[in-house]
Amino acid sequence: MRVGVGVPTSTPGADRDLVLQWALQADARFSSLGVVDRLVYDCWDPLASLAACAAVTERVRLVTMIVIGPIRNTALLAKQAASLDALSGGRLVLGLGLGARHDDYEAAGVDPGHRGVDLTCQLLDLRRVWEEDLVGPRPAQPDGPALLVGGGGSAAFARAARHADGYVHGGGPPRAFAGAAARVRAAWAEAGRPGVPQLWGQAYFALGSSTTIARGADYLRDYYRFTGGFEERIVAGNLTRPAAVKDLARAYEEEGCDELVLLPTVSQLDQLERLADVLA
Amino acid sequence: MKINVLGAGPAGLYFAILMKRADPRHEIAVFERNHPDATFGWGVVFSEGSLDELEHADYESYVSITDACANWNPIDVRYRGTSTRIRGNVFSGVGRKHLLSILQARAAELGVDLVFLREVDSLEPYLDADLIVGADGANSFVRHTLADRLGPLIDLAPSKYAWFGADLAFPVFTYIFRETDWGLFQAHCYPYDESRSTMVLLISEETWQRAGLDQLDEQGSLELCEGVFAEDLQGHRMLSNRSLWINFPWVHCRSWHADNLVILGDAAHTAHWSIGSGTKLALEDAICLARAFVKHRGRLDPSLAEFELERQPVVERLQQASRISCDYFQSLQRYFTFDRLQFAYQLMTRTPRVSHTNLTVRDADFVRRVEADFAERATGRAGYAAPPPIFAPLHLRSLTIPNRLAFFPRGAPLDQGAGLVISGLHAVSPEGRVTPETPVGISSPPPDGPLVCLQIGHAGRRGSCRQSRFGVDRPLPETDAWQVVSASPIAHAPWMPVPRELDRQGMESVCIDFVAAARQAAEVGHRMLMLDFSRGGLMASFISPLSNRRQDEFGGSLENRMRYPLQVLNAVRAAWPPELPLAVAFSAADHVKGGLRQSDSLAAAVMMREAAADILLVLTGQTTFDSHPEYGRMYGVPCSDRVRNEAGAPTIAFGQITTLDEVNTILAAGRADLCVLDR
Repeated sequence: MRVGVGVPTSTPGADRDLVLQWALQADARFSSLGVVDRLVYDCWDPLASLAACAAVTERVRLVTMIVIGPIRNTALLAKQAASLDALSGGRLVLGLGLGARHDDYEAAGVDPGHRGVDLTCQLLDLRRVWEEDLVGPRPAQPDGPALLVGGGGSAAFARAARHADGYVHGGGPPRAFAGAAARVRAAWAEAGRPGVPQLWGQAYFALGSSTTIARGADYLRDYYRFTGGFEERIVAGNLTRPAAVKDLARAYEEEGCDELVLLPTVSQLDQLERLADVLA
Repeated sequence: MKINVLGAGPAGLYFAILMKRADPRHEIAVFERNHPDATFGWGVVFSEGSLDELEHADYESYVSITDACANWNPIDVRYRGTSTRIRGNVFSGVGRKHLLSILQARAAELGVDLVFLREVDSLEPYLDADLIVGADGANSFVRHTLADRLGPLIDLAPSKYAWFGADLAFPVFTYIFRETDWGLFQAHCYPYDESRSTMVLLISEETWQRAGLDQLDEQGSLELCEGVFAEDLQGHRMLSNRSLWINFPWVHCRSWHADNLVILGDAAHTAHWSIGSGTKLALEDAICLARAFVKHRGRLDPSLAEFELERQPVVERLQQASRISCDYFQSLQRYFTFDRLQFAYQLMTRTPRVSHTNLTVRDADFVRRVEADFAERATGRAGYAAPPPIFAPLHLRSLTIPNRLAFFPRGAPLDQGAGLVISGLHAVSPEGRVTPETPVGISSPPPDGPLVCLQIGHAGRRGSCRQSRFGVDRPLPETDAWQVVSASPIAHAPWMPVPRELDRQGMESVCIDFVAAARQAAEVGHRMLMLDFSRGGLMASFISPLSNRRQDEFGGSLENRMRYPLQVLNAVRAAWPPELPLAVAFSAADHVKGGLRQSDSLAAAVMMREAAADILLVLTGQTTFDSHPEYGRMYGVPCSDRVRNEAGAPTIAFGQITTLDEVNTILAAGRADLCVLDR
């Protein structure tokens, strides 16, 4: 299993220096840099952030976990993704999902009523735009960036298995990941696809002093306030001890996770070092 | 902390006990509408083994409860004049009244304030506490009051059940199935002390009406049931205590807490009584919540979050299993052709929690007899012992499939070990290809190695696509595409081309193509053929009402929609050597609103069986772009089970079957005749 790290693009106090330093230092130590997406929130655009990361790195893969597909125009998204793939020398992995909030759709002026179908069509259209060079440029990767699908229920598993290259899990205990992974594999078998689906996982972490941990909890509470009560569960799942990080990584690996991306919850550069030490 | 607990059932009392134990300074009151001695429901049963968790939570009450329990491990299944015993299960039962009196006494001893005969009709008087606990049962007032915060979903099982007592101790847990003129009566009976048992009765709504139970009063209902189970009661009496016939309510909640209010036990979630875990769940809820409060030093938010985080997955798994169990008991008449051993085996393995291996550990001798029986049915040879069902041959016409494992091909070395390899699709014509690479016709003999079942079909509106490396249903660029056909001009997906409606001439020509392909297959030496009537292909497009809007005699009713696929099946059967088997791959469910009804799906299976399809590969979904099953362990098996045991057609099951233990269980329980192993 490969391990990537999230970029602090939505934690409070993140700035240009932090993000560029973060990317620079992660380049040699982690397999990928991941970003999350939300429109109505004080956070940076995922593709713009990854473009900045691309400029200062050489080898890490750049992954969206996920971008909310249906609120974006597909031709524009295809162009942005292809450009980012070209600018990074073929390092983009594009995870797409529906998102969990209606306010993002409202702000984008997009009707969420048929977002499931919209996302499925978008997956097919992205691939077609790249393959048939409908808008240009061509992505650097000959087959285009790998497409991942995120989301919970069977519709998401089917979408990932039928129309993408894999699945990105939304986070949770290893048992939850294992359950989703088994269903994605089953949907893949049902679709009769050759090979196996890529399986990506993610988890939040905050390592260090009790102040750091508390700050991480505050961020998660704020970020997930929209869930109306579930934020405490997400806080409870935050990895705040080195042993918890190791245990989770080991368990995800056992469940067949291809790449686990650990997302920071505080805007502190020391998190990268601490995480790398734990995983060393 | 000041804590108000509403409801003095096991969950509420036990939580009060544990909190008071953890810190005697907590001020805890429990409010109950009934008298301390009033209880409904006779005995409760703890299946799933031990009550170890109680031992660590509160040793004093644990000792009293275990002392009061009746323990036994066999199960008896009384079915069609036979009785079959399965050993090695662990059960205990205790009178509900006894259990409550132990918990009441323990709570009182610790200084919990117990207030009985207090009807709660408003939360207002109880809100002056740091924590309010709704432990007020399946009809929870607390949950009802906070519905917009907790998001409860309640639905009712279609069958009727009632709790009775009996003044005899059944020797062990006993399932009784009695067929009457009104319909089937089942009783799930367990002793809870030296001289009394609980009898939970389950009947269908129709049986309930036919027996006139909708008209009878409590006494009348008791007498009628005593009559039905007279043989089992051996002169003893059944007892009624508000033993009303009700529909089981499934309770699910989005959340179990709102601010400083939390619900526990049946108030938060119900699990069908047929897996006997409601009380255990309630007690474990109480343990988990109390532990969370200790860990987080009484801080509300993290404690309640941890409680949900920890309990919800456990409860969900159990609810799922209990739903399967409930479905099973509501539909088990489909297994009434089974002999007694297979019937009992089916009952024991009704939820995926008990597999062939688990059962072997519990009662090796029972499983040996089941296996010997299975082998005897497969080979005609009786014996003392036989290899597990997976190794039994399957005879279809003159063909013998050496074992019960079917694979979809993954290349020669990986396909070894299969009894049957089901080939990829061979198109009957160039228009019938899925992708330009789909083979057309059959030119080469079957390869060496495991027996091959050659699959032929016509992709219909799912044709003219690119290879599936980057996904399915991706249409070819216009320059390479061909015109696709279907039952009606309805596209498979919004991004796919609208097919041309297949006209009569086209139908005849496709039928001829099928026949020609079958002849070719026979000529080159294939010995088993499968017609693809599934996954949105041309034949499937006729069967599903989602894709068939024809106005002619091939559209409309199921008979009409099946007309063309059956013509093709009959034509192929006539051309395919009579001594060789013919299979059909069939999408038995669309999983989309307006799709194939379950009754139609079974009727279609009957028609195909009567048209001499020897075995059906039961698939579901993929008939339209957004049609998919609810994935999960062995998700395709219930459909195979229905087709096999209600439509009477041998089946091949498919759908997340991943272990040989699962295969053995499915086979021995008669849910399929072959299984496709996911690899």
